[in-house]
Amino acid sequence: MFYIAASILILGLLARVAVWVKRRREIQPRRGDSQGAFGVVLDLVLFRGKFFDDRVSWIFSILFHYGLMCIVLRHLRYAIEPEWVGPLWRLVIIAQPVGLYGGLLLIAGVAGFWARRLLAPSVRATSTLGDHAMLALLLAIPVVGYFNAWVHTDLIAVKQFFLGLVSSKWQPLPADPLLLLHLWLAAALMMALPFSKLLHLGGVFEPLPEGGASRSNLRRIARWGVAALVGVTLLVPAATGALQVAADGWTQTQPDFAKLARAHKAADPTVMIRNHPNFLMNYRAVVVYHGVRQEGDNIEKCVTCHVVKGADGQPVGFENPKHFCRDCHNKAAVSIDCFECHNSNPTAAPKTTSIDPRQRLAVNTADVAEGSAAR
Amino acid sequence: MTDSNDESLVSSRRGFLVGVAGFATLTLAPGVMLYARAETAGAAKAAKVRWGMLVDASQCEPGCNDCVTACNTEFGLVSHGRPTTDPQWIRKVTVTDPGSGRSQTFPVMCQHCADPPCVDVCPTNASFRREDGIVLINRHICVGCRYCEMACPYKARNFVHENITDQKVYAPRGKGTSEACTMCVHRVDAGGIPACVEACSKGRVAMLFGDLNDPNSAIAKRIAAYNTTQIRSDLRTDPGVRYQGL
Repeated sequence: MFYIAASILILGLLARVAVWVKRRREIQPRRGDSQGAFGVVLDLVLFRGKFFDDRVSWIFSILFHYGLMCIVLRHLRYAIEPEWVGPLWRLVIIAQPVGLYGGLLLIAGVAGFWARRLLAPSVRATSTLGDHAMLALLLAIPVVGYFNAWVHTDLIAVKQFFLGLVSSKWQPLPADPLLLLHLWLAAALMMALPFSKLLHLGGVFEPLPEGGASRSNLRRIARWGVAALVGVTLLVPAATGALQVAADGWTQTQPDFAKLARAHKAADPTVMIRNHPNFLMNYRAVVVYHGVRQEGDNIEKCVTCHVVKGADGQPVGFENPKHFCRDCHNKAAVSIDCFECHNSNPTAAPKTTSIDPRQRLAVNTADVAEGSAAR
Repeated sequence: MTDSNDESLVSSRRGFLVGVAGFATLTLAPGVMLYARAETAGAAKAAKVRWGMLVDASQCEPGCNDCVTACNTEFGLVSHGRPTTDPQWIRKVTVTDPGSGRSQTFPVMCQHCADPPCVDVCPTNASFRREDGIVLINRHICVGCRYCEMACPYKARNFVHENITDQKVYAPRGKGTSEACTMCVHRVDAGGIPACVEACSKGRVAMLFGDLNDPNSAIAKRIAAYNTTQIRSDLRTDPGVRYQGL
């Protein structure tokens, strides 16, 4: 799926740039509204042309593009391993909150563009179904993304999936409906992008618009094609999802935390990987406000069983990158401040010592990974 | 005929509603679950107790520091060599009557008020009073603004100025938050008594811990029989820590 999407994106981009370059050779001289290098920078960074052309559109444009930049920076954590970049990984960690709130700008920008398209009569008159479809797609991707961030998924598995795609060592993807929807829509966008007007990225190659009936006809056909493509990509998962829900009900509910605390050693590791933040937050409220203290309710108990020994055979604390919690949190660039107050070292001799749940997961899913559908 | 029709309509509508509810459960799950569990736990603890202490100042020895030492040991409060900012959850106070020259010494800690000023001023609701009367700080949401320290008439609250390592399991502490006597809530929840009270019972018994609302408890009987006072009772904070022989 992603291979197809990526190849359509890259080939489409190349084809379109090639067309532009060819046309530009035919139409001389080159566009002259940018004055020197500084003018180009003003155009590219502040969208100067748009500012003087259409002020409303410029505002949404700034919101959208800078929001997009923030959110793309946040997604860097899925593409880079901390070991590759060394101290620069700090920047990826800093990009997390930037992206989390910057993404709201993106949503505001898209919503603004859509409102303009619906409310401004002149824009509305020239809108095609394809325009609306692209906006729907652009809005749906971040909104679903925020839902993902809210309900949590297994970030490390997602990261392994994508790094596995690049290195063609395929890894399974967590089967969370919201995550799959987010990725599906993103793939749809990648496929639709080369055929849409969203592709002004390579605009420096674009010749001056020369108008002409044949070209606008071509454009109209392309837009309708985009609408159809987006429609199909939106409808297919929606229909299959609806059918699935109708068939077996919505099975994905929160586990019973008390049961999970006692029995998570035997349970499916993915349940705890996915739910441990909720689990800890839940217990912290129960303990702090209501004094319900049971064995194993504290985070110190977690690090007591999930102990990692250093080179000297002693348990390592949070300052060590190998610490059980820190290892994953660092890879996923998720901040964790529990250990500013809580002890990150084992506080007692553990009755049982846990192995890394991902190792256990690898054993469990090794045979499933071969034939996983989600690629 | 009509009946069966109605039924199928109802059941299909119910199916739809169940579907919608299922989706809501998924998306709302983190917050909702948190509430649900907390509510049940609260109901279990709803019995009306109010934990309190009675300090008999006439029995408190001037040179003795056992309660303070016990508290420091219990919570791992260590000096960083900077006395003005070192943590101090309980302290010995010496008062002298300028007229008679009579001097008295007694411990002062968080008074666990029924109407605590620290809770009133807290901007994040981190400072709170439990159902059983113990005043605590939820340091997960404390932002370290220190309003509570200024509001407290008993100077009971401290600010954590230093990086802290090797905290006790039952007493997580961290730099940048406010802290105070917890009335050893971890011991009380397990059915025990506070560390200072335990330490004091080794020599002369100057401190007593118990349920103020239970008329049969030792502390309630003492308060009913003798003249006890609350520090700065004029402020009407109704402290849970009372003093005898002041």
